[in-house]
Amino acid sequence: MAAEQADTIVGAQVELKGSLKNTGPVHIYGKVIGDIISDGLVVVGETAIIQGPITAKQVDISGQVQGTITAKEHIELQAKSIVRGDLITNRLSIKAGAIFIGKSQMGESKGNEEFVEEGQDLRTEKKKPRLELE
Amino acid sequence: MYYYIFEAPVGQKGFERTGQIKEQLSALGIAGEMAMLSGGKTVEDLVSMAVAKRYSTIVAVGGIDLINQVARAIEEYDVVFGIIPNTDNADLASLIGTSGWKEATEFLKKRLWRPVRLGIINEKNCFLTPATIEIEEDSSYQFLASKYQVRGTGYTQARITPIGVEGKDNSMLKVEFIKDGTSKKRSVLSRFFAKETQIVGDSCFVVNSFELNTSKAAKVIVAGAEIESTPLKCRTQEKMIRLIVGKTV
Repeated sequence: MAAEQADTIVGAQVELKGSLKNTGPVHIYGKVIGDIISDGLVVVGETAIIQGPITAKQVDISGQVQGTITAKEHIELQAKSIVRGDLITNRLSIKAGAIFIGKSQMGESKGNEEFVEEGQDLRTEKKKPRLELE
Repeated sequence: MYYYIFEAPVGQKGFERTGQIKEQLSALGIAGEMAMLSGGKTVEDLVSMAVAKRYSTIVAVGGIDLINQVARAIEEYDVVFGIIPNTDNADLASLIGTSGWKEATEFLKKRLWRPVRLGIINEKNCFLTPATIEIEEDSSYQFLASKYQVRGTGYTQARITPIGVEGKDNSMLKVEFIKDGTSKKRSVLSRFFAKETQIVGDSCFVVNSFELNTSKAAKVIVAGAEIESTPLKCRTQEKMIRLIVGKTV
């Protein structure tokens, strides 16, 4: 019962409807119809099916997602992932075999102000977006 | 300063352990007043007496059942709550940082505490240590949190634990749905590769309050005793208890 960044886990034979929000990590292995919001890592397992947007610090996808995915730091699409929707992040990795149908926005995007450190001047300290294809 | 409520010892070993605990408390200089829970007085009676005598710390010395009883009784008062477990129990270890009685007495000496809230089921049954719900494997469940609802099948147990969450006011409930009575386990290989094996069938949610319905009535058990059955509503209590622990949040 110690204080913890508690993980939320949606198991494989579970269906969740609604808005799932957690300050800690979120792991999905079942079905989610709705939005997922985390201040940390969201893991979408191979058996997961998500219909709705995901907003997190980092997102790691091995299952199916239909919706916009916004990650402050990093999105990673694993080999068996199927993503239909837009990706908004600072760093994107797509492994061979992943299926991605949508648009990607990195660095400059409508949500760009969320990724800028306080006091950072975009004109002088613009970071190059990084796209890694494996 | 310290008021100790002892569970009645059972057998020779029980008496020996009680004696050892009393000696240890004296050696640490925190002996205080010691009361034995017996047929004459209830936990509520003893807690009231301790509060009337202006003791600032009330300590439960015993098993999970006594600990929950004392936690419920002291909730309305402004005292600090201590625990000396007399059983080796993983729930107690996660609650205060040890399941060993000797280490627990040393925690009392240091007086580090953190706020905790009791969970309450159906507005009448409070608990500090986890509550478990025995679900039949062919039964389905519906879990309703404030902003989402969950449906699942094939689970054999649900477990509700009041927890402290970093960055919040220590008022959350961790609800785990477990298949076949297992929870997260480390595989042999993971010990070498330092990776935790995830059993992906289990589910875990962290909420302030929830409702749980099951297609077949399921027993709710706290400290080995059946207290309720589903459907149930569960939430955390408003008032916090100051619990002495090994290290603070």
